[in-house]
Amino acid sequence: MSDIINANPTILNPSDLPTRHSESRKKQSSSAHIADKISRLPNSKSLLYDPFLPSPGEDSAYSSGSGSDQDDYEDETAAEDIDEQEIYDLISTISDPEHPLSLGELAVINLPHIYVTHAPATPQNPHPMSHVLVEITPTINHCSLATVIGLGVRVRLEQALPPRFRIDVRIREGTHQSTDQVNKQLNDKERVAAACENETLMGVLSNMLATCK
Amino acid sequence: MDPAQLYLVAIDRDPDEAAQIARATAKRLENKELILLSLTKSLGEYLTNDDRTIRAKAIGFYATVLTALPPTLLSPAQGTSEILHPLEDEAGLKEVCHGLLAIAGMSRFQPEDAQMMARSIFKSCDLLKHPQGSRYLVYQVMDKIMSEQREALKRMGPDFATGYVELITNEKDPRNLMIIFSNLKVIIVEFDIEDCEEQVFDACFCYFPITFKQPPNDPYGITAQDLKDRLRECLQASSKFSVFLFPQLLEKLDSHSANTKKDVLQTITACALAYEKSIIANYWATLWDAIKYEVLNASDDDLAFEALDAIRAIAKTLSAKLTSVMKTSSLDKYLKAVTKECLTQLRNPMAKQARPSASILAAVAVASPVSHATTIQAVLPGLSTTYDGLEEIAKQRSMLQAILPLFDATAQVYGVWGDIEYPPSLNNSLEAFKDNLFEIYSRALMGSAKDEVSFRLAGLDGLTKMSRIKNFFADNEIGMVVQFFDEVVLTDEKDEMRDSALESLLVLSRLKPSLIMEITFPAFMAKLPDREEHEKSYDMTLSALAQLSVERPVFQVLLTRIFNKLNIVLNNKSGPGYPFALLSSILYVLRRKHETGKDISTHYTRIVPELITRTITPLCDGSGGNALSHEAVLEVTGNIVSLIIRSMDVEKQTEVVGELFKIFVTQTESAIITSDKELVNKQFRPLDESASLQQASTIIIFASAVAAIRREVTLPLENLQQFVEKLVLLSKTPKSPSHRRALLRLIAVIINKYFTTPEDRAFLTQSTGEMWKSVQLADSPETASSLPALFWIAKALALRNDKLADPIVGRLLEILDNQALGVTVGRGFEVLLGDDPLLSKENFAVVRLLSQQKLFVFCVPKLVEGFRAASPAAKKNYLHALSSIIRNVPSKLVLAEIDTLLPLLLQSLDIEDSDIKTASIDTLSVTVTEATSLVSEHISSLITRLLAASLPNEVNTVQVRTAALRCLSIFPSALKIDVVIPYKRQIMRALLKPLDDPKRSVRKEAVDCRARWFALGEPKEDD
Repeated sequence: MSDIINANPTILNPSDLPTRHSESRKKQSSSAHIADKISRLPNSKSLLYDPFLPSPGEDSAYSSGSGSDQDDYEDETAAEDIDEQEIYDLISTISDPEHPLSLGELAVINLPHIYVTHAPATPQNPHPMSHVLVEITPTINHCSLATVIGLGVRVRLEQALPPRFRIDVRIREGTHQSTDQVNKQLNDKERVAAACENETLMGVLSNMLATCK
Repeated sequence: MDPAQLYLVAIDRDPDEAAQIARATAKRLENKELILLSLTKSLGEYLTNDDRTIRAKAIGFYATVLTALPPTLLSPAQGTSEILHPLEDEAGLKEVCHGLLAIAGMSRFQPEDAQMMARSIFKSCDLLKHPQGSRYLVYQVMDKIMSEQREALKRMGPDFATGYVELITNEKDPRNLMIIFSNLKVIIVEFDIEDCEEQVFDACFCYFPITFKQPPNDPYGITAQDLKDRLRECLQASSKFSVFLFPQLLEKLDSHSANTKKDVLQTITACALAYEKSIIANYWATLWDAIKYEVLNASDDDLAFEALDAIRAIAKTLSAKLTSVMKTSSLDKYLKAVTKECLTQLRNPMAKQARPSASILAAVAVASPVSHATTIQAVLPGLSTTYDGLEEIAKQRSMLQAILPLFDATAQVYGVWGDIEYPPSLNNSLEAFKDNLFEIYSRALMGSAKDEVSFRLAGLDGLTKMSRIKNFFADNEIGMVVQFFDEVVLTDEKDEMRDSALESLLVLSRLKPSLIMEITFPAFMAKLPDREEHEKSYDMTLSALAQLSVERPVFQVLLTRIFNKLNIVLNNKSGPGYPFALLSSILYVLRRKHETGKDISTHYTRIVPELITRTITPLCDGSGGNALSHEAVLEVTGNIVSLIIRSMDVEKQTEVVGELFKIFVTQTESAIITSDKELVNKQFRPLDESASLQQASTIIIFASAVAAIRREVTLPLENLQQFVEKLVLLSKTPKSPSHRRALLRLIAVIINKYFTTPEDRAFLTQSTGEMWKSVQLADSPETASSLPALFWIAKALALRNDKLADPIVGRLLEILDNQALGVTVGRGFEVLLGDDPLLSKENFAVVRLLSQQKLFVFCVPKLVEGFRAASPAAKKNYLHALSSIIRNVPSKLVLAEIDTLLPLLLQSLDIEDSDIKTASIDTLSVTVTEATSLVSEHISSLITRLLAASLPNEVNTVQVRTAALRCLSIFPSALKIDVVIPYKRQIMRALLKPLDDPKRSVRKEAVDCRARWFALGEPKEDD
């Protein structure tokens, strides 16, 4: 890529990117970690675990008053739906094809422009279809790489989402001079399949996806 | 035969004998039995012999004789000419040099001799003809005469320098160059080289840049860096070289080699520092023009760093002798050029050159106080104006960040609070801008939208850095900064902000502890609720307080406040959670202090009696006590007591352990109890069988305290065996699991540390024998009440590699297939190999090297064998025991036995037990990378089982599923491609289900795992 199409894009600071609150607290904050250590009453499973109990884990009266042991042992039953933030986390770390920056940092992918809808589950259909729409904002409105970026997002989502998801990747209205054309390319199954046969293109894509965390 | 002849005959046959002959000849000379003249005469014919080897040997003889003579015997004039004459001769240069070295070492070595020697060497030596070893000797001779008769050589004028330079022409050997460079430096510094400066310079500079690479097995151990350093010393030795040096260096700066560039920049730095100010004043403009490019357009941080060093060095030398800013000084001119350029770049603070420009400014600002003043006065007004004109927050942020290095530079020049060095006499120029800077950075931190994290962080950084500078902010200003930070820590929604603010408070707590105590502590303490609330409103605050309290005076304040708070909270009938947190924060600080090498034993008086009294007295009035006797809180209290006692010496420990036994064992009055002594004395009976649960549970504290006692301290009991028997008895009818564990730990600690005599060992054999009998008679885990004690006793013994452990462990292994007890025994193995916090090296327990390994080697074959023979129902018990063992030993041990263990591990994946599954998968994960061929054999069944384990059900908890997916994701990179590729399709399809796992964290693992398998076999772009 000899000519850089947009040599001076606006860059978001990594600390200004959206993150899931609970996770950021668990992973990033050292003082939150210490806070957890200080204030979390140990539960029956860790501190007071006794291998010699007739049935482990059910130690009678000794869990009194704790009730704060949910963090280490995640609640096994509560389901967590795939939401916009999760989609964001999947695709915002894709690298831009011409800058050593992520799509999140370049504001190509933005959390408010991701839409996830789940159809309600019914007894007849316990796993209904879900739909995800990602709107891409190219850094400049004549960006010829918009299609490649869109394709990257699409490939990443197809790899990472369960098959019950319908995936829609579009250029955000009014951010590109040939929105319709690009959208057509991105959502035409055969064209996408054909593109994935192209080795050079796949090479570019796998480099973009290599930074996904 | 005359000695010369004898020598010549002997030298080829036996060098030792030849040396002996030479020494004997020297002795005769010394005893005046022989005179030098006749010796040289007898040598004469050999010295002129047609055969060059004979000539060389003859000189060798002469040289060896001279070397063997006492240095005072001859005057060099007597022997020199004979030895110098053959210099032109190609043969025997080595031998000649030996002779010369001997002569130069004589005490009557005269100035004329040195001059003559130098002249002859210059005149007649054509070193190129000789091997490097001979050349080395010539350089050694030069080195010797330069150190013996330097003044004489100086009197030779430029002849010596030019002679030397010619002598060394084309020398390339690193060992020789090391001598040459050090000699050249002497010549440059001390000799008169005015007429031949360029010649001498060229002799040095022709080696620049040094590209030498140290060969492997280099016998001399000379590195490229050694050569670079010596050469640099030559180049920087004379300011007069600047005319030649700088132009040539700058030319080489255009090189493409990063190594050359680095060398050039380092040499410029060294010379800029060493040369006279007047010289640098002539060159700063050329240098600056070239070097700035290396910073502003740096592609390599390393080079930029070197370039900054050079820029700083120039400012430093130009600052010499300046005590105030002078408009006409060369420094001023230099800094004008520098600041003008950087200011221009900083007008657009988002541009690529902005940040490098900021580092340049910081680099010149640290060069000297005057340089600092000039820089600050030149740039800050401009930067402020630019800042005021910026409208976008992103640009403002970049500008604030660009100024930060100047604060660090100021702190370097003017020191930080607490530095004892005197500050420079020149006033800190930054002071003129203090109010403005305070306002700009405060506004960024406190007055902007909460979402502007990086902008606010820049504000926070600036305030922190400015607060550090000594005598810059007044205390009330730092006080305001501390208040800002307090507010951020207590109320901000962004973790990053809170963390950074706390980090900054930590910095300030070391520089200005009083402000933290006066402002932060009350603010934080006020945030702590007086009763336990269901939302945890106190955890972050306590965490912050604990982190701030590592400094001693602050910790004292924390203790007072926490104890007061504890009183209030307990009076409000709190549950255990809040008191637990309060005490844990004390424990946290003690641990941090201990880790940073501070003596915490001195906190005993303040903490231990207080905590023990507060815990015990409420248990003595029949009310059932308060939250302090909840076992989790007891555990923390125990840890605090243990940690403090551990750091005491033998004498103090003896005293404390005596008092503890008074309270818990002998029921006599103890100094530890500070109130209601009598009541405690009467009512506190924790070791009675009829004790209440709460009283009995306080043994947790007692066990932790006793565990920390050094082995040299005798426990204050007449009969330890009896005491242990009593504890064992109590452990059979425990009041609670943690009560039993405390008792068992206490037993284990005492046995491990104190039961070493034959009588004690006999006692152990006998009592464990009895326990074993009762276990054999038992028909349920409840009736096998000695089982736990057996495990703990075995552990205590096994840790010190005591053979007594073997029969106990052997018996325990035997009953794994017992229908009634097998399950419990299987789980019991967790005790045996698990690390115990009390029974540890830190607590002075006897923990022998390899004790784990011994136990592992003892158990595993028996387990594998037993497993094969066991009934299907009992197999699980073996796997449980195995899993407990594997989880607790280093994976290296497991890998050594993996051939026998892998089948068991695979089977354990079919067991309905989450912990076993996780442990097995974790072990398998290590196996995949470490024992690839073995895994390759079993790959099919392994993959099937791991895929099954990745689907959610009762047994496959989040932990199991995560472990399974992680293990699967190792395969593609760890195993050979033709082994794994057949499974790609199967796995890609099977992983679709985990992609829809109800848990987000599992889905994440599935996505990563699938991506790894997806990439398998794809052609890589970069290859």
